[in-house]
Amino acid sequence: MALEIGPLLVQLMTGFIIVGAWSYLYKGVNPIYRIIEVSAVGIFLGFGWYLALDVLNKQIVIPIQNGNIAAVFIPLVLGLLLYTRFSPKTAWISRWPTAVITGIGLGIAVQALPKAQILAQLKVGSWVGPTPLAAFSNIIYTVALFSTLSFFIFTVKQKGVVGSVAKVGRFFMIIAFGAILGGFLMTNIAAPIGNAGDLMQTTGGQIVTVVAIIVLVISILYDRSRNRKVV
Amino acid sequence: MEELPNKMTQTSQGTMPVADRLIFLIFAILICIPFIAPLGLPLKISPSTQTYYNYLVNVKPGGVIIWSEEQSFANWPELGPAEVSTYYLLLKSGHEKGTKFIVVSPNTDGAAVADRIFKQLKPEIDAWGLKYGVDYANLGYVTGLEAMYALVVRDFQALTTRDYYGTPVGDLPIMTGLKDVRNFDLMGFCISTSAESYMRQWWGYANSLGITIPILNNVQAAGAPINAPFVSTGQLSGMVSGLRGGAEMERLSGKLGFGTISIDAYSITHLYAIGLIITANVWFFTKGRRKKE
Repeated sequence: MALEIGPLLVQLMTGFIIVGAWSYLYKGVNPIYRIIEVSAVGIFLGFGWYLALDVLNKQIVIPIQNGNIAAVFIPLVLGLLLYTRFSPKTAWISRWPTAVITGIGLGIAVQALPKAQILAQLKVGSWVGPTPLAAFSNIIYTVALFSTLSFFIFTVKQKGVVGSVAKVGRFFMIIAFGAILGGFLMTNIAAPIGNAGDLMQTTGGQIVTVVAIIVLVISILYDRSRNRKVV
Repeated sequence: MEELPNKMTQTSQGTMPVADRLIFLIFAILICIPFIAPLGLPLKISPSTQTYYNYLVNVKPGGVIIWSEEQSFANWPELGPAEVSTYYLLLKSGHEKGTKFIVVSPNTDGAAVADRIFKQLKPEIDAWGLKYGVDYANLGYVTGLEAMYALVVRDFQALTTRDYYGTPVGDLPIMTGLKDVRNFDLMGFCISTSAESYMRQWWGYANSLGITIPILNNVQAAGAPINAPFVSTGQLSGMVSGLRGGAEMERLSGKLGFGTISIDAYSITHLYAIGLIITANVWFFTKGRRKKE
């Protein structure tokens, strides 16, 4: 089956980047790893710049070209004022657009927060559930809520009943943190699996993998011959 | 000057201790094995994924779906499979029931990720006769985060002037008549972490108007425990999480892809991680006994 040169080059490049990044596991910081590292930063920065300019073009430049200066005047001025930070003498002016951005963001978030994140959550605290397991879960939820909250009461000394309840709360927090940490483990495992897929499922990836294994074996033999204690 | 211990010296030079490298080497081999020889481990559809799927396939005929694409390319291996399945089902719904599907992105990568998925599904889009701007649209990256989420549900027409491809939004027939959350039938978002901002703005505003609109979430496994309370309260109608959720969605949608292929590697590496945790704990708790001996 004929393989197009374009996709093959992309696959080879992808494979090289993955294997280059993984080379850290064998050789630590090495020239190939450094190339991959700085390239990743450079590409990401370039992509960010492109998108930023694209947004400026769509939201500011094109409306001005179409004669809608009034609609973009205030955002344009506030945006430009942000750059006054570059001079120590005029840096104070940049506080105005920063204040506007922070104020709007906070204002929008805070006005909606109590209902969505506090009141709606408190409604869950029902003792009655559709199934015995759900009812038991509600009881656990309520115990976890109050015991965890009691852990953060600092106006009362955590002794006696309060201390015991706080200790229960600490265990609930440990369980919650464990669940989150487990989630992070799952997330972190998914990334190299994606890379392994790129290496194993494409012709270019398979070529790079074979070359990498050969280079690895040669490198190990070379290191051994020089009596280097690497692996 | 006193010489640093071997482990510290190695780490400061940018290399890892031998034991750590061995752990990662075994890990690398384990994740590659299922790609060479698939194991076919069983996969049960979780109730959470089933609910998510049910909402996707039960949008009313002619309904409007708003989707916020907030994943970055770095999260693609984990979030990609479920997201491709989601787009596939929503576009299929557009073909079968005339629903409209609009994507908007609050982060820089999101719009490009959406574009990648639409390109990946181009054979289906062409086969179903769906037209860009009429049946589906990618509005691109819109700045503002919290303010942007609020704008989606309050003043949709003011969200952006041009779509991802530079077409004026006013020229897209799909945008006609869409003012605010009252014109939407399903909302959803793909995110790597917390759903709090969406709950504040989307659910909060809909609730203040007395509207119940299903809101779905495709989230990384790391974010699932954080967002789970919103599922309990019904603020989130459905949630699919991680690569496993992606594999489940592929199975439900019938469009098998990377999630299905990689789920064996996912399972096997989790068994390996559990084994490492048990080994490390046994080693730690028997340390005192070994010292006595």
